[in-house]
Amino acid sequence: MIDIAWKTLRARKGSFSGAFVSLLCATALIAASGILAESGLRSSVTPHRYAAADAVVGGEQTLRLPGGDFTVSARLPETVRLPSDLVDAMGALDEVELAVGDHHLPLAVGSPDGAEPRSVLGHGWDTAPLGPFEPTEGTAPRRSGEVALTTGLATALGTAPGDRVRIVSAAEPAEYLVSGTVDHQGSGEGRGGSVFLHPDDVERLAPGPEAVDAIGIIAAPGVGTDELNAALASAAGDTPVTVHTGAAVNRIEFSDVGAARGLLLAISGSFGGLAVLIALFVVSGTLSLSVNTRRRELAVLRAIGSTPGQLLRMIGAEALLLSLVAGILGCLPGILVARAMHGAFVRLGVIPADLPLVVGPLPLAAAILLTTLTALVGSTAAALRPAWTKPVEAMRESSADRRAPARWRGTAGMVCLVLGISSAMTPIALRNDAGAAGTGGSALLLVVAVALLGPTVLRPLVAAVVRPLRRFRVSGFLAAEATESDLRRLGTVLTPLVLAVGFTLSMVHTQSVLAEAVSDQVDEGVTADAVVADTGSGGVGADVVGELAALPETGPVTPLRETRVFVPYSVFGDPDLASFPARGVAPEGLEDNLDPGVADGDLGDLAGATVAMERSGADLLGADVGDELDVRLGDGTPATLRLVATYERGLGLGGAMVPQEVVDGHAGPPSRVLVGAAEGTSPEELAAALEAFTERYPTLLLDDRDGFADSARAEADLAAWVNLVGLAVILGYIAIAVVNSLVMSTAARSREFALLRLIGTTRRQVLRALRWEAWVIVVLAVLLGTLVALLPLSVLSLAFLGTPVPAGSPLVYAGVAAATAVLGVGSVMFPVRLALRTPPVEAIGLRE
Amino acid sequence: MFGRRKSGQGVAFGPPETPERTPALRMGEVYRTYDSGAGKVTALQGISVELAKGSFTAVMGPSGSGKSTFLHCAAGLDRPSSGEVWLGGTSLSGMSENRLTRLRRERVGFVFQAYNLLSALTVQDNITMPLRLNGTAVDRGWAEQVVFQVGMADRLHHRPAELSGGQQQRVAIARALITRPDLVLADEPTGALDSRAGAQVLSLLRDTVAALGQTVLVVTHDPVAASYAQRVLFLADGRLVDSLDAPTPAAVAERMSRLGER
Ligand SMILES: Nc1ncnc2c1ncn2[C@@H]1O[C@H](COP(=O)(O)OP(=O)(O)OP(=O)(O)O)[C@@H](O)[C@H]1O
Ligand SMILES: [Mg+2]
Repeated sequence: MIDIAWKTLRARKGSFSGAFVSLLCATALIAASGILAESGLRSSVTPHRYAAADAVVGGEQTLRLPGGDFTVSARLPETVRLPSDLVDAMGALDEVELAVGDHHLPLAVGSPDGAEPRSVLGHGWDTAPLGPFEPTEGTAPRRSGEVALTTGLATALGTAPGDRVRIVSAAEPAEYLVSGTVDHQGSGEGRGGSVFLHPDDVERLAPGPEAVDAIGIIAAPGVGTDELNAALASAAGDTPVTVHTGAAVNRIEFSDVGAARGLLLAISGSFGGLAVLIALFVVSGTLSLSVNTRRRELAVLRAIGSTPGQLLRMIGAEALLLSLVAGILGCLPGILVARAMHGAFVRLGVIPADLPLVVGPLPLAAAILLTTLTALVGSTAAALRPAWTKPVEAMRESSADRRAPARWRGTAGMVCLVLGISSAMTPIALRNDAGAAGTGGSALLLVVAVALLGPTVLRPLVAAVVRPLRRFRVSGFLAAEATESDLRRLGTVLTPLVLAVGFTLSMVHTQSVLAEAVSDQVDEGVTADAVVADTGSGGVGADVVGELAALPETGPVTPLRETRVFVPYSVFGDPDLASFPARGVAPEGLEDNLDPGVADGDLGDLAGATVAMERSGADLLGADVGDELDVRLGDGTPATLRLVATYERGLGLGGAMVPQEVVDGHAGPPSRVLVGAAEGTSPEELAAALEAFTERYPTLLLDDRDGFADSARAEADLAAWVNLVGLAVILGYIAIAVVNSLVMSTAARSREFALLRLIGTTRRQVLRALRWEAWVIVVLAVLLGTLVALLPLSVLSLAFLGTPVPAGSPLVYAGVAAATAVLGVGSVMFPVRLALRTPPVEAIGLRE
Repeated sequence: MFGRRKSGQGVAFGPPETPERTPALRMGEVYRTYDSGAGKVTALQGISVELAKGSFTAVMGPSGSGKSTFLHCAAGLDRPSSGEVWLGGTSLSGMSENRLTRLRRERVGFVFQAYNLLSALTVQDNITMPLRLNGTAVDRGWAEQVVFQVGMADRLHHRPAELSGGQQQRVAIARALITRPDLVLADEPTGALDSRAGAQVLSLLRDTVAALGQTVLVVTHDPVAASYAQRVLFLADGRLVDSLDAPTPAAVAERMSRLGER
């Protein structure tokens, strides 16, 4: 059978090229998402500051639940710190020559004259052997108040040993003497440079002296990796630690690498999942289209004695050959797509430029396998009916298929419809990003439902759309007849178009509704007169907050410490982990600066071990005001908190609020501080006072509510852009699928066009009829696409913004409609013009 | 009236005969009704017929009289709405699609009225396709003989689109003969051929019957073609209405014209 399949493929290059393109692009798309996933798992940056370390010990950054499987886990946003005793315990091991506790201090370094400070990481000089770093000029910091800078950083700042620099930590500036410049003894500058402080200063600036961020280990001579690991693990005892060795130490050296890898994994999870689904959906659609255009040939095969099984095997063999070749060729474009996406993410600043893409054979093989399997299943499924009908019937049906659609399609379609509608309702139940995710899923499910229900949905719609066409004597009439005569074919070509329209509208508008909701809620929820924000020194330290509060012009001062809380809960008995963005706040005067829209309870009770939650989040957990919640803080520490209030504006203000004292030691300092005016102080006086205050603190920025709302919106927009990169790639794929299926199905009708010509239809009339047909397709696609997107979007918009008209620019809609028209009409008319070039007698003579 | 009586003589009814005398094809009270949206059409209304092994029979009748349907049911390509079909001694009713296909492939060669060939394959591949489907090796001697007989020896590597209609029909005949089937059914195999080529094809069919003991049933509109047969059956409105043994073109034409009058 394989050789017949091969001969058929070779002889019919034209009609298989559609399926081939579809398979190739599907492999590319799936491979690209696979490459992103693999990079998320394995990509690394060459260790720099820890290059000489044999091992680096860090805390367990992954939160896992006892009893939950690996899917129930979360990456902790805060550094899980290790007790400093461990440094001594590990240093005392025979296998260890040196163990140093390291702190990753976010600092802003600038020259004293006040030029823009640069964000760098500060470390104790005692960690220099882990590089190793040696002084190049001057000396190492010998006493408190002295710092050493890497040469590149010193040059960038224009300072030399003996100069003074200003270093800001947690918004608090201090002057230091540059004792010398140092250089890495292996590779060059490393990224951004480092600042080395005297260990006493590190002790003072670190968030908690009794804990360290990481422990760098240099092994005793002759100790192997396994031996060292075992020794370190036993020294750690009950403390959960992760020991990184070799190149893997980069994970703990660069905190952004971890975050970027997490992001890549998240993207490949959401984008990749979607991409795979859509690719498989399109591939199976195209292959069934390609099988359908060959019904006649299959009928002949049945008639001359091939059994249904043989027919299926032959179709399967063709699909196998085709998808293997297409798959192998699809790998290169897949790599290019992944590179382009990587580049886009780097440009957006969500992953560091030096984190490379890992291109291994695994995702490529998986992509080929997946498309091949889908191709096999899709084409054999499409061939099932032609294979099992009686040969004579098959021959009779081979020209146009008017049979009723299979029963299972109707059932599956209804199931998708119901699932899609219920998925559209999730934003009502869950008013956060997770809820909004239901909107996209819903649109997708509805498209699948339309595809499955096919003729049933289309018949009344088509009848309505083509009615005006029947008034034309020739071209409109022909177009109406052709469209109505084969609803199944219409369904197959419509599906990718509807998918493109519905998917784009739902994705783009979901993002704009979310961004709008975030900025609206921040705008309404923040009632403070001013906002003071830190830029680049790790937050606003408690002392600075205290000084701010002590100004005579300031009234209530509310620091917002951004972190997350995780709440274990169970869905139908399965353990799961809900994650909420949380704000650590000072309860005093909270209600003057923030109006989260309390639904139940009292924010005034927010003191001690308590929490306030956004209403739908609390509902998800089944918690009422007064209930105790077992939560995990941002560094995984367990805490039991009493729910004292629920509120409405969770999108802008975070899903949970806890008193500062709860997150002390478990989250960094606040990045923003809300400031209210003292009684009797006008906003102008307050602004002037704060202006003067921020002059003294170089990293502090004075902002107002609008600025806060804008920056919250900017964050939401960044998230949107990250999603849009994925969306753009998927859309590109769908566009190819659209062109592909339209060209395929139109090209397969060349006999019909020839026949029309032979019975006296002019070339112009045929062209006009086909143009009408194309417009019918475009109108139907936009109509259906709008419908499948509008339902979930309206629900989302109603839940988040209170109006059923989704936020977002009408230009998007116009653009989508225009693009659909261009793609639709173009890909119908191109093959028609091509087909009409062949003289009709010749075209019809091509006996099949 | 005369015709009616004759039909009683020519068409055999009755129980199956002894094994060695089993007819190649037997149909008993076969009805075929099409239930299309536009209403019911009864294409065959109680056809009973027996074809003796090694016989060469022609079927004639006006257009739409059910000739193709009759052939399809005889070949197991279509299933009767009621009635029985035996191929050799094997009853086709209740047979699974797979078994039926295999049986067809081994015992029946069919030449279709239209839609003959696989356009992606060469003449040679088209002809040997049934063998390939059967998983049997090509008997070179036989294949060459068949190809030579149908006169396509010099066109083996062409594709169907490059052949004339008559040439395509000859390839289809070669394909039907390649498995040496017991029963060869041909639906207007000479429809697209000039009279000389048609005569060649029919003598080919008749000679193979003689040489291999095959049974042949041919649908045709051409009295000359029908005269190659040992017996002609006449169909009208889905019924066997007449038959003629040892036909001559003139006798056949005369019967046909009378059928048209009825
Ligand atoms: N699928 C079908 N649905 C409904 N009626 C059908 C179908 N196929 C055939 N018929 C009808 O059955 C009758 C017999 O058709 P059949 O094809 O057997 O005729 P025929 O004798 O072979 O005609 P011709 O000489 O024109 O080939 C005709 O009236 C035809 O309209
Ligand atoms: Mg016929």
